[in-house]
Amino acid sequence: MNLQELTVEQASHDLNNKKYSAVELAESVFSRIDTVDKKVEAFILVTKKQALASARKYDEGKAPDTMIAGVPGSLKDLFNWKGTVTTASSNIIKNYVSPYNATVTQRLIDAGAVIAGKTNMDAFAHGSSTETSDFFTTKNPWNLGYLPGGSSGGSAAAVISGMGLYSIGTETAGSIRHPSSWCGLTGLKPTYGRVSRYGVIAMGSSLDSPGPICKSVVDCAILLEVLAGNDPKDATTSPSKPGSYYKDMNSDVKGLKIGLPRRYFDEEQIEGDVIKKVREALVVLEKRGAQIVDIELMDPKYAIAVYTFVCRSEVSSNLARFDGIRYGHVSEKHVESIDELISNNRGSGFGQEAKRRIMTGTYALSSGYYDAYYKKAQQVRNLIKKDMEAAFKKVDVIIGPTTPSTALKVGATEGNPLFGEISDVLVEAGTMSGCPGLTLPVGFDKKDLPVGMNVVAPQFDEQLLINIGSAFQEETDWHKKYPNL
Amino acid sequence: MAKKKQTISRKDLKHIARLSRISLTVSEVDSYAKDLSVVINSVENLNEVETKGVDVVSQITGLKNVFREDKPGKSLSMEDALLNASKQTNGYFTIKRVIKKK
Repeated sequence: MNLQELTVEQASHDLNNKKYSAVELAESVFSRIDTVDKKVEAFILVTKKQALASARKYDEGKAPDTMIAGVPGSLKDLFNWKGTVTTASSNIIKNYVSPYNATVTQRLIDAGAVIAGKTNMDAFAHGSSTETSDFFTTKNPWNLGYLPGGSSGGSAAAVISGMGLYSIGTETAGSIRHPSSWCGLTGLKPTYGRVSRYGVIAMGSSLDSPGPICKSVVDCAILLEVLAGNDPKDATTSPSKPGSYYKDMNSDVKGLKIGLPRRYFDEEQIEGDVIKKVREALVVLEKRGAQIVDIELMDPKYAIAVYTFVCRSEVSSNLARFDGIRYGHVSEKHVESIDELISNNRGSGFGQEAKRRIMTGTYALSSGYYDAYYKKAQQVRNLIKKDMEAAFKKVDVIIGPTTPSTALKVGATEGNPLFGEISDVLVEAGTMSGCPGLTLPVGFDKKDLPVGMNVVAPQFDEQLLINIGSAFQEETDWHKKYPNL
Repeated sequence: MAKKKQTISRKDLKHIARLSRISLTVSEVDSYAKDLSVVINSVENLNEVETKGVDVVSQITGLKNVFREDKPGKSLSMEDALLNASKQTNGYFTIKRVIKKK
């Protein structure tokens, strides 16, 4: 059994045809984790007992009849899963045991999925490298001296290494697609509100979007069907019915209009190899009948600024709950007031990046600065949203490279307090507008590191992304490549 | 328009840290003041964008007034709610003394 080749779709068929049992499949994954994870360090927690219990249930015929039933994957460690330690890779909650399930977790459990463990991330999802985890740095399985991207780096590294067949990550601006791109995987960030945020340790409440990281578009479609839907526990989920993304997959792209924003192909800002591979991938789509249309979008540098202020402001609010009173790290220091107690707990519990982001957000929201920073950012965000909407009147999708470079070396983020936001420059306009995006592996650079291409659709048009992705993956083999470990 | 370089002073940073309820050492104050200055300066370009008469973005997918029935439902049990308390006493979260004895 080659876990790096095996897709969710194939595993589902194999289990159905009793080619192997769910327990055997799960055992293979755990054996793989034992062999490989000491090099890759993708997992914070391996949940063998729970996984084997789910797998046994499948083998006893007691699991529901879904495509994900019996298939092992992992969860980024910010999804609450009752009874497991959920840390968001932060010391401040390193011993926090979830007292409830996130809706994402519950949907996977209800569908019979086998969850093998919780994966490493940038602490509180504040990053694009997984190097700012408070615990350890996950390595890129393509080259262990390089970073996997982030913040869902553990998830991506796990999938490409064969330590599970899928992982669920989250994205505010790149955190699904960035590590998927750097690890040669297919990652889907659904429309904001397509998948419930209930039980997700929050980063930016107007941005957080849980979504799948897989080896193929087909697998992403299968996972999206499990995850998508309205949730009464999350008032920001869409009341609209999600699509039958897998069943309705249609790879006919004849007449599809693809918008290429000139500024997203700037050779001064983006690596030459990255642009080259994306342009080659576009030719594949053109051969299938798609049409390229040059478009102009606002300079993405403004999206960086907007995202920085909006997201960090929301972070400052969302992380206010970590005070050590009801859960989390408690400082040993003697205190004389409640302020001192809370300040000490937070000062000694949070990592550097969390503190940096909280304070930037607090500053942007504070009296005297609110208008110039947060309010201004929310106004420009509206302009960005209108800019995207205007573009979608001319084209069906917008395509560009997913990241400005391929994977960077371990250590690359040091000394750069804006690393995350700059790395995500090519996806920020889309996420600020709530749009869904899909990253597809499209080749390798001269260092043999994967290149990703980003496809963005209007809100709630995940089916279009899946259709385009399936057309591309019918013609190419990039998604079938994996590193030897 | 000359671009003024914004620096976050130690005084500013101490104020922000106080608002954020994060206690910092003396050297941390300096280091974070520098970091925040870098961040703020990198994103000053927002001023280049004309926003006169532009509304702030409302809920990004157009949702309004999402309500539910005003009926009490299931919640966390007391046991689950106290699961991660560093200390508990008779079902209460227990913390260090923060009120001075008279």
